[in-house]
Amino acid sequence: MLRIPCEERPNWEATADEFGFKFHTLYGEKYWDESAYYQFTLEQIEQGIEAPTEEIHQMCLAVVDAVIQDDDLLERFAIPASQWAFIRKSWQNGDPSLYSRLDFAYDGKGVAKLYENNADTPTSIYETGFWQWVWLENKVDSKALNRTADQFNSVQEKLVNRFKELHALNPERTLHFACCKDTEEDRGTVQYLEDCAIAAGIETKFVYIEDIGIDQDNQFTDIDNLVIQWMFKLYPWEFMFEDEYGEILGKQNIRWIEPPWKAILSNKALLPMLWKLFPNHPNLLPAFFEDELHLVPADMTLVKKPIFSREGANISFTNHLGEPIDGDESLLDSDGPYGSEGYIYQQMHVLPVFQNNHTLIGSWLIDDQAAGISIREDSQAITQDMSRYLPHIIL
Amino acid sequence: MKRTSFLDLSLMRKHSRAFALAPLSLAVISGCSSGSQDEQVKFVTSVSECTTTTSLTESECQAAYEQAVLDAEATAPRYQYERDCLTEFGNCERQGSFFVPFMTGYIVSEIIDEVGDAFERKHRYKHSYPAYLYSGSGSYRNKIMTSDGHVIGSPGQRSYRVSRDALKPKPKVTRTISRGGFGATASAKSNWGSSKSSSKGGWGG
Repeated sequence: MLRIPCEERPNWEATADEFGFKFHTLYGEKYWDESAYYQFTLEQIEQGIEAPTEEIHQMCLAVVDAVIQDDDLLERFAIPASQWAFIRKSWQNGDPSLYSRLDFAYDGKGVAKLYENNADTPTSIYETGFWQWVWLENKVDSKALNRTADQFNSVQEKLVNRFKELHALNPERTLHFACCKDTEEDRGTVQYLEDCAIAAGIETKFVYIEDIGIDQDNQFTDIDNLVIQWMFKLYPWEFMFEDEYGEILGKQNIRWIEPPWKAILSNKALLPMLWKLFPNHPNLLPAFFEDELHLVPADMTLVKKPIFSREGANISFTNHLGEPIDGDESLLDSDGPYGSEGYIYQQMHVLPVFQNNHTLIGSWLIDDQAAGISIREDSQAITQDMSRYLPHIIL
Repeated sequence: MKRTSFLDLSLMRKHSRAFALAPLSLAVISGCSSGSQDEQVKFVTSVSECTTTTSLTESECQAAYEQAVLDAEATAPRYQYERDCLTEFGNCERQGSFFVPFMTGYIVSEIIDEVGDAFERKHRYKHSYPAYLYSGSGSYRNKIMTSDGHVIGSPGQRSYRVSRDALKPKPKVTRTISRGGFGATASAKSNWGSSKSSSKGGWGG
């Protein structure tokens, strides 16, 4: 695994414009960064990332199965009791999932360690499935990269195939795509998934989350008063549970992507549960609930994560007792709006550093199949939502 | 190869694509989409016309009519202002707080019920949908149209070939009694502190 600086394509911004990739630069800073790329061997991809990704996904499903039957565990996951029946039903029905992203610390030599599972509202799929694919095509066409260069990235192909399967399960329904207003990144992500659904033959429509309404039968409606019967929402389940319409969830004849049971997987309480069910698994870091800190070895430094944390917010470093560590400037705590729901603790495991960049690998699953990777770089140890996205190749 | 072997880039270009949605009644006027098989339907303006021009019995024609009326209540194109409805359909009525076009007739397709007695095969209606006469300007003027904007053809033909897509159940239109019950939690979180001001503001992870 190497980080290789390279020339940017001279016309890439025009190409981005042509394909509607609008969020490559944010607040004047690079988000898409093609001044370098990462190079992997096929073995690093297949043994180091692909195989563990599919195995961990199966382990995560085992956690859902254990948690869903257990009131105490659902409480530990900070899921409101009023939603338990709704979530259980979706699991018992076998409601299908579309996608997830597992985040790993991996340096190409050791074993990939799971940081977390973004199973409900993962983003950067457009950059992964489409945009870095185009980058490689262009680089090969201009002979800047060898024709044998490959990429771990069958994301778009698998997405379209998955949408075809979902279409067969819902042949008569229109699929509504939804995200919040005022975010170019989320709008672009949802547009990409909608394009893939259209390619699979699905009738689609878009609605902003804030514009969703209800009729007198508690059915959800879009801005044109059409009843929503099938919906992809780039909006977390735990937010939906808190929102005003949360209390009527489950009263509609509606299929959800991602399904409600994903509320258990996108939750940081997943991490201590994985460690409980699969202790000492090589791809897992030890993780603990707050009342399990007595199990932590005295020499272990911990990362404290809010149960509902997103994009690296509200994360801090502690000693084995869960007490904050002061004074070490290399361990910069992050601020954020989360934490009132409780915390979990995970063994600190720093990201590998390549040319002063901390590198995080996102490994994508389409349903239960590993489908590709995305690479994020940050100058700080905690990857946040302004981290840069870099392409990769296999050679 | 570990990557997608082929991407149709022409499908991914966004130059001509707007994010905003066109008005409902025009957004879906797409004609027949390619690939799906056609089906033969008849357009009738009354139960008696139905009994003379199809193989259906009077009671089947009556049932098909009632089905179309029910369907119209749920799926008819809705307009907030009467003038907008009149511009496109000429004859409109109030339905709740909206205006909807008068149903000009209904389109039926037949099926022979093989499940019954083999010597007494029954013709049943397979589909029955409300149909409207479009009277707006442009090439769809005076064409028969379904609730969701599929064009069937000009009136007066003995039968019409339409794509299966045109005969799919129409999305239900309802009356929204409140909006905005989702999104408040995200908005509360994004108002937090100042560091979010430098963020992209999305809720993905």
